[in-house]
Amino acid sequence: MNKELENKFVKDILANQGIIHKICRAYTTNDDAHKDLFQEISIQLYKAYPKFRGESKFSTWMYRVALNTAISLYRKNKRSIQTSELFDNLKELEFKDYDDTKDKQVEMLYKAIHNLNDIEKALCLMYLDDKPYTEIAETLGITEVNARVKMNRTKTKLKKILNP
Amino acid sequence: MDVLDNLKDAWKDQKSKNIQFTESDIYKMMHKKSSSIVKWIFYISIIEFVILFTSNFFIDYDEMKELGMQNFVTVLVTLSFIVGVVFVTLFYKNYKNICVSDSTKKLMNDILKTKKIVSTYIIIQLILAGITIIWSAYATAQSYDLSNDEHLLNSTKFWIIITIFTIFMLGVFWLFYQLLYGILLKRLKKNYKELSESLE
Repeated sequence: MNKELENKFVKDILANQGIIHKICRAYTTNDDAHKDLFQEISIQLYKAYPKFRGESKFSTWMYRVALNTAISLYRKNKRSIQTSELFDNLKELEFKDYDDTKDKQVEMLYKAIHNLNDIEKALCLMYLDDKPYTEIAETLGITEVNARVKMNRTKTKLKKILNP
Repeated sequence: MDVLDNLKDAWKDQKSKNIQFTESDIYKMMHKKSSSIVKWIFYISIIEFVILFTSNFFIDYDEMKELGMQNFVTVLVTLSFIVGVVFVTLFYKNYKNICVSDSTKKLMNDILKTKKIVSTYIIIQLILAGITIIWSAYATAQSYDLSNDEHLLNSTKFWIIITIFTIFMLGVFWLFYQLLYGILLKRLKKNYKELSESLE
C-alpha cells in the first residue's frame, strides 16, 4: 500500500474507531483481549483496504470486516503482554457531561450481550446500531426473512437476560 | 416503547470505555502479523503437505525390490505426487478466495471448504498408506512362505492381525488429526451451523 493510501486508511480508522471498540467490547471480556481483537481487526482491515472500492460507505464495510474478524477469524492467544506494550499513548477519555444512568445502562447491555452466542451478538450489535434489515441480511449472508426471525429470537433472549 | 428501544439511546451515546487509540497506535497495529484462524490453517496445511510429500523420499527401494514391489511403489509414488500437486493447487486457489469483506456465511463456508480440501488429501494419503501396508504384508508373507515352506498367505489369523494393525494405525492418526482441527474449528463450525439453520 502506498504512503498516501496508508495515511488515508489510518484517518478512516481513527474516525470510526468507536465502531470497532463496540465490537471488541461485545466479543471480549477484558481489556487485553479487547486490544488484541482490535489489533487483529486493524490488520484485517489494512490487508483488505486496497480492495475497498467505495461501493458502500467506509463505516459499513468496516463494520462487516470487524464483525467477520470477531466471529470467524479471531483466536484468543497469549500475545496480550506484547500488545499491551504497544500502547504508550493510551489516552484516558475525559467524560464531559457525564451521565451515570446511561453509562450504567450501557454496562448492563454489554453484560447481557456477553451471554449471547457469536451470531446473536452480531445481530444485537446491528440492531442497537439501527442497521436496516437489508444490510443485516447482506452482512451475515442470510435472507432478510431469516434475519428478521433470528433478530426476534435474539431480542427475546436479550430481554429475558435483562429482566429475568 | 420496547425496553430495548429505550436502551438504544444510551447505546448510541456510549463512550469508548477507557480505550482510545492514537494515530501511531494504529500504524503499529496494522503492521503486526495476523494470528487469525485462516493463517493457522494455512501454516498447518503447508506442514501437512510437506510432510506427506517428502515421506515418499524415505521409501527403501532396495528392500522393495527384494520383495518384488518396485512397480507397485513406482505407481504409488507417481499417484501420490499427482494427487499432491492437484490438492496443493486446489488448496491455494481456495485459500486465495477467502475474503474477509465477504458475508459472514460465505467467509465461514470458504474457510471450511479450504480445510476440507486438506482433509480429503489426508484421507487419500491414508488410503494409499493402508494399501501400502497390506501390499507389503502380502509381499513379505509371500517371500516368507517361499523360504520357510509355510502358508502365511492362507492364514486367516495372519490377515486378521494385519487388518487390525492397519485400521488401528490409520485410526490413531485420523483421530489425532481430527482432534487438532476439532480444537481449531469448533467455534467456526458451531457458528456456521447457527447461520445455516433455515427459519423461513
